[in-house]
Amino acid sequence: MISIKDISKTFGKQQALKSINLEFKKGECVALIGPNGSGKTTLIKIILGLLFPTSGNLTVNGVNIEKNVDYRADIGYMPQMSRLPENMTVAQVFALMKRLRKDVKELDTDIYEAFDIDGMSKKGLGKLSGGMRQKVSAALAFLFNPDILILDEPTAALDPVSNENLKQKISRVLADGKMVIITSHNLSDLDGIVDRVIYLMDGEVYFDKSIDELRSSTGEERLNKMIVKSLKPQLV
Amino acid sequence: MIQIARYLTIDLLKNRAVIGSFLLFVAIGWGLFFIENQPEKALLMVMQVTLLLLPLITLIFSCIYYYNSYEFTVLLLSNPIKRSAVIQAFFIALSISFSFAYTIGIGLPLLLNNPSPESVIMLVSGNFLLWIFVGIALFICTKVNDKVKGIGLVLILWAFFAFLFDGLLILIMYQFGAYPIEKLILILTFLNPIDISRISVIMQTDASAMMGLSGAVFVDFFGSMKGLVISFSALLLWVAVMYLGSVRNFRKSDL
Amino acid sequence: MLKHPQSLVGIFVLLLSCLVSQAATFTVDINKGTPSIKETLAHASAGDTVLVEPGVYREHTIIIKKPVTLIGIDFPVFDANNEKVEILIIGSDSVHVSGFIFRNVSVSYMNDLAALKVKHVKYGSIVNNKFENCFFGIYLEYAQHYLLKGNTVTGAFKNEAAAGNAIHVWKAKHITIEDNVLSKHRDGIYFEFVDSSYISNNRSFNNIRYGLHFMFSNTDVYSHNVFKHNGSGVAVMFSHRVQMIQNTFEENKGGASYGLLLKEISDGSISQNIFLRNTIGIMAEGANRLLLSENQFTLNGTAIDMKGNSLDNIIERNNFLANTFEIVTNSNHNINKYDSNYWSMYSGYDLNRDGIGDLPYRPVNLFARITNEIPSATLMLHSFFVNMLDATERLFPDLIPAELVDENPMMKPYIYDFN
Repeated sequence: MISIKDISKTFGKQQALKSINLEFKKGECVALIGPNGSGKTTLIKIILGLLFPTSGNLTVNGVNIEKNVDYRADIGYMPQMSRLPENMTVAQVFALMKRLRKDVKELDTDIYEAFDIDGMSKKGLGKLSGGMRQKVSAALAFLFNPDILILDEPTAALDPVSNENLKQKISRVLADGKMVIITSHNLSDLDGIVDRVIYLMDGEVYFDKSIDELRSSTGEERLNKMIVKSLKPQLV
Repeated sequence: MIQIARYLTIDLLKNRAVIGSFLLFVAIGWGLFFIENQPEKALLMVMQVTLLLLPLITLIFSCIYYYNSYEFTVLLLSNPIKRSAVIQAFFIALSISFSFAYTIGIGLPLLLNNPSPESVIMLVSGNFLLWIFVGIALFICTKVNDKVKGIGLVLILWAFFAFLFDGLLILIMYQFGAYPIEKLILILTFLNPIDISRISVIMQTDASAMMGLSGAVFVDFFGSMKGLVISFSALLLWVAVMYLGSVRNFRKSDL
Repeated sequence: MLKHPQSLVGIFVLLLSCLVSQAATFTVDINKGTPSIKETLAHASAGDTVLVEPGVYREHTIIIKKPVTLIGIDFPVFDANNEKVEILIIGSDSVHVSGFIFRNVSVSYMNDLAALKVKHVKYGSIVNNKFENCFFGIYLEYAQHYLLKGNTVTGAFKNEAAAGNAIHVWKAKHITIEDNVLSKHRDGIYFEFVDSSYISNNRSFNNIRYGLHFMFSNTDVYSHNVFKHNGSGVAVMFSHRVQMIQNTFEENKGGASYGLLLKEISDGSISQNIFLRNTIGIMAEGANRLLLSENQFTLNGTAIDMKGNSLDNIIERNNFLANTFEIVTNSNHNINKYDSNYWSMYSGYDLNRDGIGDLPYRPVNLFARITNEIPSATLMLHSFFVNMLDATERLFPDLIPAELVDENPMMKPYIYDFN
């Protein structure tokens, strides 16, 4: 679904991504992890067209994203929402988004309902807690039935119940043949749903392994332990 | 684009800083006419506010608002929406909100207390000015991703347009006073929207003094209806350049 | 005693004819084939009245040598057909002309051709006539005790070189000019060597040069006139003891325009006048010992431009309202007295509530000085930069005359009870 070929990105003198080659397929749930400044965010922003790659090219569903906006109809993005128009209410955000996406007839309101967005709909975005913002963000990402979901730190501020709701929803859309990319620091939250881990470091793919590979090579069951073990030889 | 602008405008009209500027304008507008019983003198003070304070407020606020809406921008752009639509919406929403605050806050007391062509010209050029400075703010912000740098740059630009430019002009006049520099000065004033607005107004309020200019160039130029049309066209051109410039920057830049 | 008895007879006949003709009235009517005006005048005797019926009379160079009264009924017209001639020439004392329209006297570069010329005579009047499209309208030389009243003189001039004056008075005394309407000539009223005269209630507007041009004329009064929209305003030059009272100087705008130009004049007074929307309200060069009081200066570019060679003038109890510059001077010193005026740019306070500001006021503005040197700098008016310059200079006077101060600036404008 997403094909990344030789993507590089430099900011001034600093090289944020060094010739990245990746392929994401239908039904995959990919965890994009790595330390701060490793290039995770840069890569996601490039996929979303927010950053322009210095070189290389990127296709989504076979369409080159350069000078194209329509491909984003297939993507649901769940950003970390911190800087927002503070007096805009939750209801207004949803109303605006629906008006902007009139093309979508069938809305997916599972998350919307599970998170009881209606209950906070009159609140201004500036008055929401971190968890509430994340709920709004998640509900928006799923709302238009996208084929590809990009979730940026989806669980950072969610309560355990909501966290579980979200994980179940992710499993359901994966079963429907959609694709999910998750970036997260909190690896334990990703247990059970992730089937491929890409570890970025200094702008390069440090490893790209399926969960089965990791499990057999490390002999661990939990995701965070697998990764710690995979990294260890190099760190020592 | 219109939908985005609409929701941004609703947000802005509830924004504390916008309401604050509106109240400030109301206080200045009514206060000046309350303290000053000569409407001509009050108009001059309104002009100072319009030429100095209005650009400063619009510049700084537009920058802060733009930077503080970053995730919202990102959220919008993760949809199949053109970048130009988003920045256009910001421009329109900011312009409408400040036009509203200025026109109601200052314009209403001005027109009620001094209903004259000068006041109308003052209001029209004030509105032009604030659109231009919203444009300048967005132009800078879309180029400079760092908030502190962006606001710093915008402040420097404000100082430049508000008084440094005029200082330079006077210096040029002193240096080349012996030569026929009227046309040069005329062209130079068009490089500063604050000067264009100021001159459009003083051509009315201080018409008598303006007629004394030995260089008939100015009088012929600004004094007539044609001059007013040209001044306003120049202001409109400024709006257009800043608007298109920010659209261009925004389309090409990394977010 | 009488060496020539026949002369006694002559005197007697003359006296008799005078007595007889005292009641004589002639009527000229071009539509009825009566004798022409010239012929009628030739027959008329001193003291007779000639009535002229309506119609167009193409006679010109009519010279009146007898003290007669010439009255037009319903405005008969003298038309000179744009020829280089004059229409009426008064060469006798006690001639009175009223009720005519004078038209189309050609421009001449050789002679000052006037529709009506008065030469070397006394005790006459020119009342309620209209002058249209004439080179000069009414022209007086060596006249005394003359009344010009209720005349309308309208030219059609575009440039100064080829234009004559509406009312031109040269070497005269005791002239009264009132209620006339003068426009589109070179000067509305031109005075040269005219003493002890009185100009009042005239309206002079749209003239190419001056509404009133006043030279070498002393002890005159002009009052209640309106001078509006003239090329460069009113000029009073090389004259003494002139009183200018309750006139209105309005809308005289342009590079070298002023409401009132004073040049080399002394010992007069300028009181209770209104100066409205002039580029310069009063321009004073070599004006000495004048009293300027109770004048109202409103919306002028510069209210008063007092050149350094103007001394010992008193400027008091005037209102300065919304002028761009209040006082401009090219001197670093001040030998004039400014007192108890209202200055709208004054921003002092009045703690003891006596109506007089507690801080003295310096009405000279540094920026005015700059624009004096560099006129195009006027374009920078009210810019923040200029305001800062000005504020600094007022606090620490360096370039502007520090002693040019009104110690008693009023807190509120005067309300004068004239008009």
